[in-house]
Amino acid sequence: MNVGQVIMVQLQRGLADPSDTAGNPNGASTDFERAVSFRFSVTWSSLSQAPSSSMLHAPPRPATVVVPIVERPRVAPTPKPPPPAPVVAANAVAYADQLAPVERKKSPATGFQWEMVVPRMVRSAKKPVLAAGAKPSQRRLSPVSRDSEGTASAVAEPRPPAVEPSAPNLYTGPTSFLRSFGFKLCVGVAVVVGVIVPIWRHVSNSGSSEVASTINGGDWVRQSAVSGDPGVKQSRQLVLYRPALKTTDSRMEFDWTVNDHPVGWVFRAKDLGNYYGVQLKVLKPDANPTFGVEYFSVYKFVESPHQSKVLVFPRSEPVLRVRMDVFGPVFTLYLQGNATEYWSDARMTSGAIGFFEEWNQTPEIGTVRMSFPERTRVELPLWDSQKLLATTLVPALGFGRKNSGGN
Amino acid sequence: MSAAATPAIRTQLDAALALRSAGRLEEALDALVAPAEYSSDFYTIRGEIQLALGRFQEAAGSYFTVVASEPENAFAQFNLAICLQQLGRWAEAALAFEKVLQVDNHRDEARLLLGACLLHLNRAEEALTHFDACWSDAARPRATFGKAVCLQLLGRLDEAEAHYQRLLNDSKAEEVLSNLIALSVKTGDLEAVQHYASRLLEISPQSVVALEALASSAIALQDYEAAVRYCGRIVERAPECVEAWHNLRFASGRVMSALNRPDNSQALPTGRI
Repeated sequence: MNVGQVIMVQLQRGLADPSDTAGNPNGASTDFERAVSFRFSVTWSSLSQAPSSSMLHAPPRPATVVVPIVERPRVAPTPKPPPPAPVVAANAVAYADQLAPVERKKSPATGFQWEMVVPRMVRSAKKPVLAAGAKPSQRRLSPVSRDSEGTASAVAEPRPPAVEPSAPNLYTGPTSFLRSFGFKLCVGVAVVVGVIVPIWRHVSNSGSSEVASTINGGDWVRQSAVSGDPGVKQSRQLVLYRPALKTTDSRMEFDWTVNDHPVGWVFRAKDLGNYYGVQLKVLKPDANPTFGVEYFSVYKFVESPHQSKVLVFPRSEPVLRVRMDVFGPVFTLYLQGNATEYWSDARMTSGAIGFFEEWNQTPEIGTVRMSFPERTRVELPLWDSQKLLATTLVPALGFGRKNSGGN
Repeated sequence: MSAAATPAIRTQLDAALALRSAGRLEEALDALVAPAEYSSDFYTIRGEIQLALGRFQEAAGSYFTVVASEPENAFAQFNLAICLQQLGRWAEAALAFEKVLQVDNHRDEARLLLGACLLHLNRAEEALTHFDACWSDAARPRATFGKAVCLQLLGRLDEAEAHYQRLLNDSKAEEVLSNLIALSVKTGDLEAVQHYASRLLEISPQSVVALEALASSAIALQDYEAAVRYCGRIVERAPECVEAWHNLRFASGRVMSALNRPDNSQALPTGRI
């Protein structure tokens, strides 16, 4: 490279001195009488880029769809006796974003974190069965408060009655706690949505715990977009499952009765200014119906452009089974069991899952099933689960229609 | 063999996870001592940490242990494939990605990476079918790019160019433009070479490929002063580029020759690219 280095020096001098040996054409040997071709090669390095580390840690997709898992049912755990009712500090109201995790009694095997193991979605062998005819509990929750140690707690007035563990679908009564959050709870709203929260236990001898709730229960909160919020023009309202406020990964499944009212759902929702949203609507009802899927994000109170996709179904389906998998930065939408859309976004890592409505259009939703890996913090106290187990679904107003609960 | 973690292994895993969460990856790895019994959790976590540390060979070993016992474990299989790909073992990586797709056929990320491996193996036709099979919107830009590369390697240049054109509005169009330059050089379309090189230089002012393209064009057009400028910039950025040194010498010689001639209007010899 000596020749080149000399030339570099020459260049820096502006190639102005014809007497310079290197710059002198007489100095150029016959080797330099012809230019040579540069090598232009085809490259595809952008194809081979390794996925982000978060994709390598968490399952890039819920490959847990994995068939064998379904074939390995686990026995649902026996409900534990409810702990004593916690003490409430008067007038110390907690807000949603301040809500400290409710301490959960750990099972001996819960020390292991699911996030580090090969993800396996384990479904309970026994499908949830509604306790038909059972009446909902009439008890109400007192406002959730903070004690001196900052632990959120709630007073359960009468203890829930003992229940058979085989009746996992439950009802939660309304709570004034939500008012203190500034959320408008859809009390008296008509729906029956069974929510099943199987907590994936890694440990082989632990099963999934399942609880159920209705959309009008204390675990759901409704927030309306107001001035300055994205979605205010659409009169958007979020209905969030409060115990999942700090969850990271999740799976939500529900049945949508196909009609003119689109169904929208959110995940990783922290508040009205930070969440991911997906909306499914009918574009052309037909023998071969056409659906539109839109997904978007609202991040730091700025709504992204909506990405959309048109889907044509081979036949008309009165009810569409929707499944949304949220794992790490990767989100996958399944319709009727088929993977339909797949995208990724790493900006928001945790938050609640739920639904949204626009223009006061209420979709008809069937059973909602939510699943969380164990590492996810679902702030559902055990005694609450017991309470849920003690009750059953009842028709309520407003969000969806009556259905039979569980899958 | 038992896949379940015993309490002793679980203790190790908890410690390793805590260390990893604290960013102390080396210590996390040290906390994991190979157990007497097989534990998929142990090897999976060890593989993750090794992968994060860039120890691809070791990570591949960990994941291989898992997939040997659990062939249906798509997560371990995928990470094994990533390790093999990072090691440049294209054939083995391609095989591992194929196994991922056998378990989860919807997984476009695996399909894209499989296509890339097949390109390295000069199996562009097969790669093309995989890029064609990608279904998700998220995968579309990369799948389109993969198809364009396949078509270019297969000599179907018009189709390749059409696919590249769809990607030109992408903010990450650097490699697209680079390949379009290669394509245009092959077809001898000097105007296109200049056009794409200028665009590439706009989005990537340090792009050696763009400078090489512009230098080639300048030489072809006998604009030796411009060629000197471009070649000079190339050797600043890529001193190992022998062609740039040669052409710099060649072009500067032509410039000096022209300056030394009493009659500068005399035609200079034609350069070739």
